[in-house]
Amino acid sequence: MKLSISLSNHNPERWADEIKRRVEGTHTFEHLHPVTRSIVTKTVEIVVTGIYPEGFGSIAHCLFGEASLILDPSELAIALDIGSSTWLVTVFNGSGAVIDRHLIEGGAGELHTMIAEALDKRNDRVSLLSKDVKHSPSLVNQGIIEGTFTYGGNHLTGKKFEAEYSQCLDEWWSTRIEKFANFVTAGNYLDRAKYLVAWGGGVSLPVVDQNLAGFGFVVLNNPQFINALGLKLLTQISIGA
Amino acid sequence: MNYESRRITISYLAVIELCKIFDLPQDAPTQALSAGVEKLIFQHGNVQPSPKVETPQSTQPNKSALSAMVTNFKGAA
Repeated sequence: MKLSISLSNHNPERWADEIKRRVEGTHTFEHLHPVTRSIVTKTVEIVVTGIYPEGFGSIAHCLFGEASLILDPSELAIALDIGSSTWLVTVFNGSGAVIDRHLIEGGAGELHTMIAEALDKRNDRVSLLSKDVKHSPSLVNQGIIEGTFTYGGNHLTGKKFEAEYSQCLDEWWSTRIEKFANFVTAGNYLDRAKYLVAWGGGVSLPVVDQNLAGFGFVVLNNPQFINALGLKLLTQISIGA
Repeated sequence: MNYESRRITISYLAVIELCKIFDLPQDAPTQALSAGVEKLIFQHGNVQPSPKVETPQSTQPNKSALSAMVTNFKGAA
């Protein structure tokens, strides 16, 4: 099976060759057959059609795929991508060219870590029973995704962390949105931008989505998949599909 | 399971509603009313989940603009 893909990276100038060297070529993998449980071997030949700056796929999707933003080539939009490890601000024009970008450290993963550390510091009676336990950011994430704000799946030890979420979110959000604001105002982009648009999985976090909407951001559906959908479009164009 | 038929009584207000649904006169014979109830039961049994309102994917990708994006990026790289 042949698979053509496009990829994106924070620094394609630096990493494109290395990524291509590692990804392109023939890959063989094994998995258990879901019914017979026998080992199935599959081979896939990967062709990398392009390695673009992070968010390039999202821009392609918004401007020319689903066309959710109507932007002339001379007009600007500002995108905020809240990923797992960074906030990435990208200023782009109606042709899809990246005008400027700014990286802010600490995405949704940082928020999960802050909440996990806050849970480590709790000293209520239940927590004292397991006071040396390090809380895991991924279980925090699970509680957020499920909407229960409960750490762990067990009703005896499951801890509600709504208070920690609210407190950590405030700090996480306010420090970063300030950096975002500094960048877009210092570059004089905010006044020129026709749209503020938000994507990346962190955009759909509870409260974050409301904060973004409050600032007038266009928040698209399935924000975690927008970049991938756009990269698919760019791949199709590259292979003439 | 007992397969004998069962007799039921429906309220006066339900009869009015039933007559409205099937456009029956208020003095329709009981056979017509029971036919209406039966029809409702079968309709309910066959209820399909309401068809999802598909957002029409009317917007086709703008291929020339996408192609220009790729060319311009590769040209700059």
